[in-house]
Amino acid sequence: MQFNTYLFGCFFLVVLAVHHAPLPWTVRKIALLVFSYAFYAAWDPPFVLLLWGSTVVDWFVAKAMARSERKGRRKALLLISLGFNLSLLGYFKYAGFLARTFASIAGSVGFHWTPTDLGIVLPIGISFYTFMTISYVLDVYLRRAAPARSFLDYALYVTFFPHLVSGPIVRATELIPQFESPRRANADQFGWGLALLALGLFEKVVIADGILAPVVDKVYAPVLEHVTSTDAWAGTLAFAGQIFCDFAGYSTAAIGVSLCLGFALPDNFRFPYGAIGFSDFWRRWHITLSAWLRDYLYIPLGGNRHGPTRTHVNLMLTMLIGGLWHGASWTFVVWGGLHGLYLVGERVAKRLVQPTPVWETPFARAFLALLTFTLVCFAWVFFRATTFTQAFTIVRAMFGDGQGVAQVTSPLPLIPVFALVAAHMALHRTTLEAVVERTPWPTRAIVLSIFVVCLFLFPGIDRAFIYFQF
Amino acid sequence: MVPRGSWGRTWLVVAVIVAALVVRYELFLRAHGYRPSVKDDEYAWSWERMRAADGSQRTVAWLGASRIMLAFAPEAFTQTLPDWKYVQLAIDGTTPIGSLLDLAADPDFRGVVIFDISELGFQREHWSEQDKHIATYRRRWREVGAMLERWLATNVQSRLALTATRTMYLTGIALRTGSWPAPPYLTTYADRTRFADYAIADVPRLRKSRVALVHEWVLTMRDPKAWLDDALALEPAIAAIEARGGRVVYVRMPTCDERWDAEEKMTPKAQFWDVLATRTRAVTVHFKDYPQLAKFPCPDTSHIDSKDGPEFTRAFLEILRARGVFDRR
Repeated sequence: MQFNTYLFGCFFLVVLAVHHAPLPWTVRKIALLVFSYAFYAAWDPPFVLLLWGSTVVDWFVAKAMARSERKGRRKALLLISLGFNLSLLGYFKYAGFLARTFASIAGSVGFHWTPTDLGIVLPIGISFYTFMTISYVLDVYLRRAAPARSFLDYALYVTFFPHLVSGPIVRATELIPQFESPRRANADQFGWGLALLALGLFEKVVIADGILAPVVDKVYAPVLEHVTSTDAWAGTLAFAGQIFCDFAGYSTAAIGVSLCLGFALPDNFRFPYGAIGFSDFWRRWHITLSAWLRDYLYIPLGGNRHGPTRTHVNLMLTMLIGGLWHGASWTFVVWGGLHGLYLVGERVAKRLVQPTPVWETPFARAFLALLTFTLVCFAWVFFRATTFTQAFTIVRAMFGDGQGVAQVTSPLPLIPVFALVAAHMALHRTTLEAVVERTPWPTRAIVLSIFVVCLFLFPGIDRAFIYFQF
Repeated sequence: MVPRGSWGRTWLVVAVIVAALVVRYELFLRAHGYRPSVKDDEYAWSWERMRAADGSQRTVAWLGASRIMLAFAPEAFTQTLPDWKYVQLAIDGTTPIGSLLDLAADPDFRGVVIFDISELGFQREHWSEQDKHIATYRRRWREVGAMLERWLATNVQSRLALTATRTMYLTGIALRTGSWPAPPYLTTYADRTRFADYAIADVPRLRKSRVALVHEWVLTMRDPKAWLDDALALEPAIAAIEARGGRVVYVRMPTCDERWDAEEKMTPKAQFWDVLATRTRAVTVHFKDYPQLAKFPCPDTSHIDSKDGPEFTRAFLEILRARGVFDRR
């Protein structure tokens, strides 16, 4: 079920009614759990079994782990959990990719083999909920957190519908405590939650799907053999805006929906296109995934504790795996690799260039932010392109070797992208909440009215959220 | 941190502004001739397909493509056959062989199939054109969310004109031309029936595009033997429907001018349709054999105007009644 559907509108009304009904807390939690399974089953009911499997296995593993003091047993339990979750992810997400890669390698040495189409359907949200259950088990293993006391709370943590299919990737320590005591949204939470839902849907339906996606689809059309330089930049800038508005739109809506029920989810985006440098970018883009990769991959690999070379290797590995997490394709790996190189390059540059006050001037900061944004856009080419051939066609065109007939005939659709980047740069040092807190209520009402009216003016475009496929 | 203060007042004002603007815009669109129209997709088709699986012998399933969609008038059907139910299963730009095979394999379908097909449509290369819709229907319980969403969306779209309106696109045209564009000439209803009003369509442009398509064709005669083999491969499906008390009617819908001339060159009626008519179990109706069907003009060469739909539907149903299609019930 997607947030931008009539079905979700009806579903959410029922959830709100039950959640705010005068019922015991346990009953309301059970209702939330049942609603969350219904939310997931609306896509394809049998896949709820996978969700149950993941929930139950990690519940028992974490319990057994917490009870045991034997290091070997704890490690064995950890391996069971990791094996189970990564096998699920590996089979459903990467089996076809591995087969195609093997066939390609075999073909390059003269052994021609066509992999059987396994016909595997990627269960929606599997990358998100497996990362959540893995973080829970790892936290218990590393004794950073105690296992949940209640199976109901734990199951609700894994399944809670606002974050279930596309994040934010919430830690158990952030959400389970919120399930332990009765909650309902107060007036401010409810009002702000609805505002976030409206903003998220506006970003998704109006900006991403309504305005930018048609531009991106024209430039990145698989049938297009040649791209003009202007189109390559226009299409890639449009995709930068589309992917942000699509994914941040989902996260914002998810946080809003959750807040309407009285639960706080962590921020997932913080004006990323205003970032100065790539470490700053990754503290602002898909924050919960970046934090997950940092805490459960980069730091266990050694982080920055073993000298510059090892740090750079760790950064590259983390970003390559992060790239692969996004999709079973080498283009995603290259996207991750580029960001790894950016991060390594930034660390090297920071060592070579001494900080001086000149870098703190508004002009220098704007220059650095635009440089960061430009390089991020360059990497987006590999994220969006479906093949390397297409990616290199776009890249060549971006650097002046463009050909063909212009597909993008008007610069108007790019206005939201420029506005977005300008807004991110202007709001770089603040938060959305702080801005809204300072805004008088009539202004809020007018802005929200524009969002909601625009939702009525962009009907009938029913693209799935891009991150659903991850 | 949650921004505080006056959220109740804020949302009350939002509700008033949004309601006022949405109502105003809907009235503006209606005043300019815009009507609610449902988005047709494989889920909408699946809902109608479910209605066909009712076990009743008084269900008429209309298979085909846009020609029969635009020519079929539901009110004329209801007047002519008051005790019968119609189900519109035609799909734009496709050949309905897949749907015929699907209905033949469904023991819960016992009704009459009206099968709109042109001669070229029998060729095997076109047989899979409706597979996506059929696959969706067969997976309908797996895609329960999408099915429910379609049902809700259909209910909204059949009531609000603005849900079928590409506002930004129209605004762009209005800004360039100084006037609000004419409404679309096609309207799709909740039951997938469709109305084409060529009086408000850009007929010269439609006609030009249809004729241009004809010019892309290789206008040589197809192999009648191979064609007949393909067409007769459907006989077991017709037999299966008849075994449950149903009937199948092959209908060749009207086309005109350049379109008809091109079709006659590729698949001359005498060597294709008329031969099939003598070999198939299905009842066959070719518009050229019935003056009451052939008299309608085709504004774009390929479809009749829906304003002629009631007369066409009545005439067509009377032909079928005279040939006993609705007997034995």
